[in-house]
Amino acid sequence: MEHFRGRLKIDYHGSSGDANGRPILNASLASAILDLLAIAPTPQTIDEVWAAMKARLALDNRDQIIQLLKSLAQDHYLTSDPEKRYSFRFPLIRQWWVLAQGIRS
Amino acid sequence: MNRRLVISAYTPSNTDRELLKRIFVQRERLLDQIVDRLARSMLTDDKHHILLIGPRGSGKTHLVALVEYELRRRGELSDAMRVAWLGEDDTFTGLIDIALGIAGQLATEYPEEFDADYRTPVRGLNSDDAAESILKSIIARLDKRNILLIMENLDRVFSGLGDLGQKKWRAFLQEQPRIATLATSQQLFDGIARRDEAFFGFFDIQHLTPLSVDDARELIRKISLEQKKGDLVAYLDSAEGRYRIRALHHLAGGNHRVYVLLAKFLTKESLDDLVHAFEHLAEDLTPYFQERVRTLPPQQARIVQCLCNANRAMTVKEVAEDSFIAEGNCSKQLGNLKQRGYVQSQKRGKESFYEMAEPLMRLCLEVKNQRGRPLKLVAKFLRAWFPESQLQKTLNPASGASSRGDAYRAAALETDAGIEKFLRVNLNAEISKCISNRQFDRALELSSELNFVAPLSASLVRVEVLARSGSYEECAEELSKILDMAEAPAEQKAMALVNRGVTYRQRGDTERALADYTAVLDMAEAPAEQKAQALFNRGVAQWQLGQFGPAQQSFEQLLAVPDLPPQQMTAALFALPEAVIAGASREQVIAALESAFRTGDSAAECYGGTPGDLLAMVLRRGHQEWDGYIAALVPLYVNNKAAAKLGHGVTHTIELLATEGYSESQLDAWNRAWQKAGQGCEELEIPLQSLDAAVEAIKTRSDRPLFRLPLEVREIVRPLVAKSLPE
Repeated sequence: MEHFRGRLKIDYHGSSGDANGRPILNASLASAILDLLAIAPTPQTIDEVWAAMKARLALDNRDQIIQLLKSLAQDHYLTSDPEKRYSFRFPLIRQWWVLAQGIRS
Repeated sequence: MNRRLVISAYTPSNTDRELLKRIFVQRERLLDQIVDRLARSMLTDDKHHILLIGPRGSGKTHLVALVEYELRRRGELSDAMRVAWLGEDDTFTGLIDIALGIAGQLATEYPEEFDADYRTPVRGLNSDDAAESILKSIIARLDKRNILLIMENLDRVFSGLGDLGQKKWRAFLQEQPRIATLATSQQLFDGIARRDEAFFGFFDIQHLTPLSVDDARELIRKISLEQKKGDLVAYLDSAEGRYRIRALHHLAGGNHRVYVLLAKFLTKESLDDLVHAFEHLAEDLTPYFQERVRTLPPQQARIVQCLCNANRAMTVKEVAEDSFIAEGNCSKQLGNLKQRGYVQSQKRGKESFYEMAEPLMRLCLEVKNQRGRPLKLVAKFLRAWFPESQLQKTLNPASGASSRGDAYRAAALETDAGIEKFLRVNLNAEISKCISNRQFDRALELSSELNFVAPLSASLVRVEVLARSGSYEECAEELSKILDMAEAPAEQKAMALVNRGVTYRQRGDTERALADYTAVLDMAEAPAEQKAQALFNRGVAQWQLGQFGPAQQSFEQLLAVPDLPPQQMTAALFALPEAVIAGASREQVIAALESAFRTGDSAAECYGGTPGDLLAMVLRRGHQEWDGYIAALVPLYVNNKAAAKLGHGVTHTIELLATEGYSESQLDAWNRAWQKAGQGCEELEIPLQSLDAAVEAIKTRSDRPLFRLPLEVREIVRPLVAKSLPE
């Protein structure tokens, strides 16, 4: 399953500037989103993810998050319901992610 | 007398609000958004809590003061909103301090509504009960109104509140939705960033971005307008002014406060004044930066000191060795410092290079260790600020006991041109971006800034921009300026001459082009490659002027140059027959062409030459010679796999046939000769079909024959014969 984590660095290459003009790697941002959703008790809206990410990183571009959520859904990490609330697509991968990243739910 | 306006760099909350509004830049939209949302919070149950995050001096308090001002100006809020702005430096040890703070502010500001003696009823209670009681009584007195709570340095407030205090405060805000919050913090902190904390996801966080160079210029312009300094406003629009703002930008790093402090330096003309002002600034700022370092854990403070002394970017290993901290630990501390905005890093390969994020911080930490010696950073800054010639000129060794200014002048001349180089690289990068986006006006504007520090490269940039935008006249003028520059090296001058020649030719001024090429050839110190280029260009120009003899000489002279690059040699070899043909026999021309095919570099793009020019010469030699030439040329090009190029040449002659007044029999003779010689050659098939149709179209003065050609070929041929057709 390590494949799911390793793949982020390859598929989500590139970076974008944060509010202070410093680079943030897309792979790190994607991994932070997955961390958030892995332990979120309910599926999260785009705004909820955006708010949580802004609390961790100096982000000022909402589109960046929308784009990443879309890509993560296309790559089968996530799924979204009709109200555009995102959650892990497979519970097994979610459980593995919590263990592998060492995050507490 | 002018009204004296005070713009406080440290406490915008004490500055006149109208004035704050007039000097506000960059964040107008954010201001509107925040005001709208907080106004809604005061009128409905929908409560917003906004947290602004940005480093010190990034304009947080300025923004907060304007939000408050705008909200107070709204008539509909006058009876709905009550503002409690907690002091920036208040100490918070628990919920009780927030409760006391709010009660105190409200009692001072609205004495009729809120009891000034809020302490007596709770005296003797434990702190939690007292806090609860005070907050309850505030809510009771609010009636239908709501509170806008302004809290600065929320991170400090939260760490004072502790885990329990945060939970209680969060619970209160939840139960009593009567308070909206506008808070600021210098950085993100655990109390809001961690999922298991009470305030996770509670605030709408806005990260404030630093000022760009253009924003900075706008800010300083507004400040100078306020202070009625018309000369400074005009100066800001000059190239020198713009360049100096860029130099300031490097020091200020987009920090609003530093611009406010530095704005007054811009028109300081004498170096002594500037040095004086700078030393004062360093004195003023030192406590501010020292406090920042003092609040750091000891290891981080040591790392900061180490980076300040280093004067360059360092790897983790170097920092670890210099500061005697284990590498793993050092890396962790650097990461932490980076997150808090003290240092910045760039990754190259496996290594990360760290340096101080704010150059001014280095300046101030240097102050206390220098003991009267010139400050390194100021010396560097002066180097970027004044042209070197001015530093030299004003340095007067005869004056004996040197002044403070002289010490700095000498230090500036000794120092490496770090900032200057940085600015040049930055400017050049920005200019290239503009050029590739075809924003030529912007590129020219930036080049005038570059002009201040590097006149030669600024001129070269302008030449490139003007040539690309097709302004050949101005381009030639700019090149003339380079030729007049005393400091431009011979190599640049030779290149400028060659380029000016090309520009003249583009403009059709071949005579002057010739003069420039000849000038390069006469320059003793011109590099060989420029001379070769000049020779080739001169040959082509002479050929165009019909001076075939001199053209032939130019090409022959070029071919005699030792170690000629293959590309240039091939071009000269193929250009030679075009010049030779004017005064030589057919055998000689064909021999020259054969030799070109034999010795030229078949990989070169110009291999095969431009048969169009050669055929134009053949055409003008008279119809008696056509058969012989064409019969010799076709096999030569076919055998050397250059038939396609010959085909282009044939197509090119169609235009000459249509415009140069050949008789019907001559047209037939040219066409016949080609059809005969080119029969069976696949590459020549379409050009010969085109020639045949074109000749008939010219003869009949109708485009009807062209319809024999496929559509895409017809579209090429039609414009070539257009001039011989009736309108």
